[in-house]
Amino acid sequence: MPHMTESEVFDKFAQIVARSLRIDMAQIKPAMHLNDLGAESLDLIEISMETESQFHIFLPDKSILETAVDVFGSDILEKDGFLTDEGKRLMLCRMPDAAAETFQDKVAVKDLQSYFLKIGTWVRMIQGLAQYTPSECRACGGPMAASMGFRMKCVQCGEEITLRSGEELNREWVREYYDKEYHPHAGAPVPVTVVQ
Amino acid sequence: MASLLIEPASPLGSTASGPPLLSHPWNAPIASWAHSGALVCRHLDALPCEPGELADLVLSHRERNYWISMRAVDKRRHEWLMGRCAAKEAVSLLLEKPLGARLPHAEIEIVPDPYGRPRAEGVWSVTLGTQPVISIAHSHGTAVALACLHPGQLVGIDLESLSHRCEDFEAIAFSPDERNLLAAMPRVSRQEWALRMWCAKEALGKALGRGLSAGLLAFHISRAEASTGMVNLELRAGALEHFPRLRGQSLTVYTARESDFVFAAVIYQQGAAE
Repeated sequence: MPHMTESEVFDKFAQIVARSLRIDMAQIKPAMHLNDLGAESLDLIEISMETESQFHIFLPDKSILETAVDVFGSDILEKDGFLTDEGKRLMLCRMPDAAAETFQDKVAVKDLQSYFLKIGTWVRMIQGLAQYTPSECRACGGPMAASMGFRMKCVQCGEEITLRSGEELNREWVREYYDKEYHPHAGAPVPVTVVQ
Repeated sequence: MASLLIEPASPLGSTASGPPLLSHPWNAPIASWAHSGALVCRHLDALPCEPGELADLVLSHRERNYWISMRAVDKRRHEWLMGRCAAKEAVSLLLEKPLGARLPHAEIEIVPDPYGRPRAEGVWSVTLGTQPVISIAHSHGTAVALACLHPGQLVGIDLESLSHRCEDFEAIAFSPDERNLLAAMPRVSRQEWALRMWCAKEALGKALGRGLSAGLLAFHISRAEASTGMVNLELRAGALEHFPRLRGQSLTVYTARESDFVFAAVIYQQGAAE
């Protein structure tokens, strides 16, 4: 899909949210949370579906922390509802734009969940995933259009591709992080501020 | 909106002991459990008074500060307040017998644990030596709360309005096997059952304390029985890592329809297969 600026993604996403929640677009700000705008669980599903359809992306079905816990195993990134130092390092690496003080004190899992419900977080996630959606056909350079399911089809030559899922991309990122950042020093305590 | 009222509420100010009750009893979600005497479920289907007045009546100082600082639309602020009110009254009624009196609303603080699950706290918990477990749900201007005092028990409740217009959420919320279960339901109640199955996942996620953060398909519906409303779920990859002891267990969630809402409730005794 053609490159979209953060502001363009925000405008388009805000329209989806406003329509789904039947609220005025002016109420939607990057720092607001979807649940504070009145979204219930099924609204989140509806917003996800509409976002996937309009941006031609495939959203992950769980948070990056949950995917990371699958890869790392239990109690390494999160223990008793709080991020461990290792968990903070991973999240800092994943969210370099998050305010530095976000990870200085104890970070509860619920605080991260709240972060993932922020409009601004969604906008950056959409922008990140959209770069994997081609606007031009790799074979002939023709324009791509949405096809069945999570597929895109070249209008000119008919070449089809399957979109990469957010879950798959998240898992790849976590595995790379595990191999390059965690595994080499696993067991040795490393200051939280080292990885950026 | 149609009322969920099952039994008449105590009229304001007419209770024999303790502060007046603003919420109503709602026994349907707990009727199927044998020890339902140790459970209390309350609901509010409208603000009983002005929001500011309700906040003054039911919230502690700390909760009130939080409510005032909430940057949220009115719907969210009102439902949050109503959920707190229902939960405090459920806890208050639950503790009336062991404590010998009904606690004022403000003495029961509802605070989230690190995973976001609501917890009831207060100085009374020292006297009591145990803490009730609670679950809160709200949808379309109605709030419900379920409280239980059995040690080791986990409770979860969810509620959805049938007026919710999201019709094709099934594709994202359910696996092909779950959609087959749904397809086997009577055509006339298909939408209702889609919501019941959704609520069942949410209620179990709440009972286990982490919601659906492990992914929607990590809560797999293996059976749904139209005649009883019972839905059986099993945990799959994603959720099993957090709850390995539940591997291979079938967890039963009770679902039903009440006027324009469907609800699901689960009471799970830790360490016991249901």
